[in-house]
Amino acid sequence: MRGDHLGEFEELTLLAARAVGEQAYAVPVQEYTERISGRNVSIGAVYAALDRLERKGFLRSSVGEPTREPGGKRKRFYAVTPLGMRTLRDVRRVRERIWRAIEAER
Amino acid sequence: MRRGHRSPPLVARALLKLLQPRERRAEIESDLWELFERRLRDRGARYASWRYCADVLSLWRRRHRAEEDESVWMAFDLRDVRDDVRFAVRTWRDSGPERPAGARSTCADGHDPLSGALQRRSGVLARRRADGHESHPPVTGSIGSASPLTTHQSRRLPACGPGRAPTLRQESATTESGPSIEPLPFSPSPSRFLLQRLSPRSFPSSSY
Repeated sequence: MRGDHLGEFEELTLLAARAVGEQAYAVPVQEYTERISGRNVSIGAVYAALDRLERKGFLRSSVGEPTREPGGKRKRFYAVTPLGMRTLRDVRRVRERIWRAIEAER
Repeated sequence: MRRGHRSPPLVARALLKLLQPRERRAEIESDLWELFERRLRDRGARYASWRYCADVLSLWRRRHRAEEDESVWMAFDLRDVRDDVRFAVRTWRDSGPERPAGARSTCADGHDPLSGALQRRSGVLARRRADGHESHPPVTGSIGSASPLTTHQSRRLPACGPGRAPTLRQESATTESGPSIEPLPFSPSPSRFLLQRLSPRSFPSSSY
């Protein structure tokens, strides 16, 4: 499913994935979101948002190499697609326009 | 287990193993373990255990919700079946003196009376049209003053009992030059219809 609609938490998750950079998998994204938003974020919500964003084409995922420790597991890394970046910029532009309108009223 | 070494609550780990699909279980367990160790280091064992349990429950809730999403289509389908059954009952009730014979014949043919009523209605419409008695499908209800509803459309109405005007807005099926909707050629038995809709699609695979 592809669509350009972005929910609030999806937007936050997408921004977090972009901010974390190349090592963006569920745990750092969850920690980043929690730190930035100042509220508890469950890992289930992060997985759900990442899956939805991937289905919409805003993220793409790849499974990395196993970690070095014994029994190390593979991690799924996420990267923001050009469509995702474009959508983020669009959302930002709309918000800025609204804020400008609000500030102009004062 | 080493003395002083803490691990996530056993119940939560067992629940996680039970609930998560195999293809992503290792990945999720690894992520949760990593989170647990960080929280243990930063905030202590009690907080880490509590958050671990909360995370497992959030995964369970998420999976449950995904299954509900999958079953939304089924709810719509069941609503359709309900409308079909209502229409069939209404038609059967209104079909007048020929009802008992018709009901008997459809039962004898192995169909249930409701689908028999639907088929009989469609057959009557087809015969009327073939005989040239009817240039338009019969009007079974109206919205406002100028928009007749065809039999086919009234079939989609949610609840229009005797004496109640349909409340659904008419959609684009009726045109200025007159409706061109064919009568229903065949109406499956509601029970068979229901069984078809309860096919394996209604039992979604895992949410991952």
